[in-house]
Amino acid sequence: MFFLRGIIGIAISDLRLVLTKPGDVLGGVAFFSLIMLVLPLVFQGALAGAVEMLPSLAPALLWVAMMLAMLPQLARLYHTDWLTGVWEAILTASQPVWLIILVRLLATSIALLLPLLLVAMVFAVLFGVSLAMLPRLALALTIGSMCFVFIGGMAAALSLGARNSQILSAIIILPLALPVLIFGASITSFDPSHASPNGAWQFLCAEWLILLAITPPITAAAIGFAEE
Amino acid sequence: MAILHINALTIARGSRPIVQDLTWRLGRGEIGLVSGRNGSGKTTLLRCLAGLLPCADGGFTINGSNGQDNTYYIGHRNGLLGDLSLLGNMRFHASLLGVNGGADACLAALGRLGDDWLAEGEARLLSPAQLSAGQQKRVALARLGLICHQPQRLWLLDEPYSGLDREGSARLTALIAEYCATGGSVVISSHTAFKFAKNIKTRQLALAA
Repeated sequence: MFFLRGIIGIAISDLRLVLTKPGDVLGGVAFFSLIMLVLPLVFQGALAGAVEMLPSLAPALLWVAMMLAMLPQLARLYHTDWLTGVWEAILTASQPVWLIILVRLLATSIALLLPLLLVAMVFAVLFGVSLAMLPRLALALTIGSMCFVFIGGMAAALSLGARNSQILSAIIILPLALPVLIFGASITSFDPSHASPNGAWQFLCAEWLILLAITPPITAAAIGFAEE
Repeated sequence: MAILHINALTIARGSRPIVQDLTWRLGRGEIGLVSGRNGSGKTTLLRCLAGLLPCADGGFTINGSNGQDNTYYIGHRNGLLGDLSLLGNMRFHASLLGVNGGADACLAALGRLGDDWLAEGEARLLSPAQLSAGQQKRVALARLGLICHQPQRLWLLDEPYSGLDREGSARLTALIAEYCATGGSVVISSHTAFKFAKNIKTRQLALAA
């Protein structure tokens, strides 16, 4: 009986934790907006007529900005709790560690994703993406961003306690995040001549499901090793 | 009847053995006092018993098995979430332990180790970051109050008295005594000798450096 209540309690604690730090989330939104404002200006400076291409470029820009805004916030996902001994308590607790990690990843996804998605939709409209495209864009970005949270979380756990953790993180993140970007951009492509996005949908969802399955146990093992 | 059997246990850090060929046992309702010089392996032993470190050789059983559910470890680090209130922290740890995390149970547990600095309203408002080191230690140890009615767990306390004032130490001792009276067992690592009530049996373990 207390098992389920315990997991719900942890989920509530995690959500509370995220909500007590609105600055972190707003920082991500600010960074996201910065990228979305700067990139078109740079393109316009480098390439005449870039503004006319904005509607077709916008989805790709959104994907890049989404990844860049999310990953830095995930780098320290487990670090503070590792230093303060919270993970020690979690590893020695009665609840399955992978489940606690899954709960934390989902809570983090919700907290990071919702504000970014909102801003992303605003930018999509500003950059002339057709309104009919927005639901598909939102859904693809939601799944893709959850992938980013899982990838970033896994990298954070695997590099916990490592001396050059940022280099290690980059090596872990790159091969996992690239398919998300490529298939995501392909799904949300504006170009009608582009191949049907069904295959890309399948690949994106496949990666999401794989990450959903492998991230919690890998993270649990990585934190266990870091505690040793 | 013994709750803890340690059998020819060796724990190593890399290739260097920290604890070597240790055999020891602890009965129900007993307190095990682990002493030894700095670096003699007190923390290493407790972390191994908690399941945080692997055994290099030999092994141990707690309650006849070696599942983690049989222990509760509180180490040097307090395990408190800096951004949650004290009550939120207690709730989080109650959830981890799978025990009743209602506000009443959490406040009662906090009250066992707290003093007038911890009125109910403050437990909801204060966060660990606003407390002194000794107060944080008390909040960390207050988690024991959540499970002091479950004597099947072996408490593993690493230097629990460090940083506590006289009054806090007395409260902790009372909590430990109560736990032992109900049949619970506790392993404490410490440099300082202290007295428990005469009716509680203590067993010494001196680790060689």
